[in-house]
Amino acid sequence: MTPEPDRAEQMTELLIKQDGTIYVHNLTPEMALVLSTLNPDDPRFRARLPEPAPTADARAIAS
Amino acid sequence: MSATAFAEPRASTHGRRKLAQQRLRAARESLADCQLCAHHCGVNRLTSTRGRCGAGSEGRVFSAQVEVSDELEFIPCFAIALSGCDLRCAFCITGAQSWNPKAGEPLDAPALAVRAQRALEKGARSIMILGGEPTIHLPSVLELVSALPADATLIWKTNGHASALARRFLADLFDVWLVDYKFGNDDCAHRLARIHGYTSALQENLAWAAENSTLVIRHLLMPGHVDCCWRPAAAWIGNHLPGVRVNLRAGFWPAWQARRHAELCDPAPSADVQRAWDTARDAGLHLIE
Repeated sequence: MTPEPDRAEQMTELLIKQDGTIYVHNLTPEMALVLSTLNPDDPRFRARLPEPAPTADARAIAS
Repeated sequence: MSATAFAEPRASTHGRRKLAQQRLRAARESLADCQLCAHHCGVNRLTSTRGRCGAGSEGRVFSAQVEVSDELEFIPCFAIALSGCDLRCAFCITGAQSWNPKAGEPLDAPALAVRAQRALEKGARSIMILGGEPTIHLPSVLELVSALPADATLIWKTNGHASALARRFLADLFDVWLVDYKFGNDDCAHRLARIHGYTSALQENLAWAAENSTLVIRHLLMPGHVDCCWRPAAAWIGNHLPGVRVNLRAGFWPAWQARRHAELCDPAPSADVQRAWDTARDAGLHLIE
């Protein structure tokens, strides 16, 4: 049986370089929200955000 | 099972799901003399014999989730990843699963179809089948396609190493073929992915996909491979497939066994990335994100 996504099987892999550059693989909508909240000025993450825009809860997760 | 034994009804009179269902038996029988990829191993995968990919008769899924890392026009995308592959790319981002056709869980087409439908209802714009390399699991793919929502945009992500037989099984099933143009020459392909005759097989698949589906080409820029790989690839695309959309991916990271190769121990330097963009511009490519 293929794992259900809400049983923590969803996965995004991050590689964070020393200069702060973040490489992302298997970017899920939730992780895109977190990364965009961490760096709202990065247009690449912003372009991949699910609707609607980041909420206060997302900022709380990222803080 | 020979290719001539596969009789195909005209695609215009049948829906995608029905087509996939009709081809399923022939696809399963073809595993007795596997010719699904350009390796043409000819092994009987219905027994314990294995070819270059090491796959048996049943496909397995190691990931099925909504993702937003693909091309902007496709996201959010419900991506179903099958384990096992016919290539051995040292830099594979999913190497542990891609090189192991036993990774993950057995493919459960009805369950995946339910999850795909749920994803579409929650805003996903497409469904993508990828690997590893899904071509090696064609019977399982056909079973899956016969169950997936009929009106969803369906994307086939592939390494472009399919045989003519495999393409016949896949014809008229996918709205988009998303094909990796990995290497610009056979020497790099052999050194980094242990494959012979890469370029001819890949270009044959690209030409076919451009004629039979909507083709989008991806190239992962590898450090130190702008001149030997990207430049020839860009030139070929510009000359033979003008106007085809190309996604030049500059986010290489040294995953899996990449560090066995000296030039693949770090991400691509910014100078390489700039030269790659310049090369794409000079070739007149239609770049997308």
